[in-house]
Amino acid sequence: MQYIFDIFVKNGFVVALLVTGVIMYVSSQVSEKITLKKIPGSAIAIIAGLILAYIGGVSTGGKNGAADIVGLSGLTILGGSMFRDFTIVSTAMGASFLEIKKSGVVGILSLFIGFYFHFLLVPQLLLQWGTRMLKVLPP
Amino acid sequence: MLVYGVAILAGCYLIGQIIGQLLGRVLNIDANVGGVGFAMLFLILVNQWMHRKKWFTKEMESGIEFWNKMYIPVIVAMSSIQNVKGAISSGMVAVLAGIIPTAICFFMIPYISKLSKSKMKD
Repeated sequence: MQYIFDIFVKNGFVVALLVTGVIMYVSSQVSEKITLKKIPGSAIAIIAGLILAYIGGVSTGGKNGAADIVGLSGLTILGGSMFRDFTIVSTAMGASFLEIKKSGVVGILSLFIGFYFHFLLVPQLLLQWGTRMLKVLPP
Repeated sequence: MLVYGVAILAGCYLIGQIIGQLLGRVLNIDANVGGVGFAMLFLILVNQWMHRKKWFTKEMESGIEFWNKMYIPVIVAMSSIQNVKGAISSGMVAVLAGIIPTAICFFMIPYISKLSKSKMKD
């Protein structure tokens, strides 16, 4: 048995690709068959990922969610900041300045509104409410 | 060659990261400020410039397209390595910090889209 785990640990990144693919597939099936496409498969997949992270956290007591489970450590590479930023940048491919210009002031306004609520106002209020949130944030 | 497209993406990414880091240094923040945004800007510019010169082949485009499509899987992988247990066990504050601003922004969408429609008529 041990040698199978060894292969998983050694090829962590490839395992992560497989696991993510399976999550995506199951989620898209759930989206299609159960929610009748009312909820997109990607949203269900993200929630499934969070549930997996919770299971990982509870079962191992670690801080890295599912990546603490033996053999799934490769998820830290695939889900790390490098690939996240790299893939976000690639989504700019289809964008054109003409379309961005069309959204104009309203587009920039909505960007700032989102930033204001998510990073300034609500966290500020909650911090004053109870400082326990500090424990969750990375040091 | 497919890898040329990926290399262009990688180059834009790295230049963006360097500029973001430099901006962080100038602003005296030990962080990358807008690195991803600069990288996206470069990719759009390089893309348009190379299209005009007709250097950009279909195959190069599919190299970038692949990473474009990997975005959601990467986010799913990212969600699976979050400290969910820590977030839940530290009380409702962390959960509320996510839900409240999202709900506020969600309910603002109709008003903002109204704003943009009235603008387009002008």
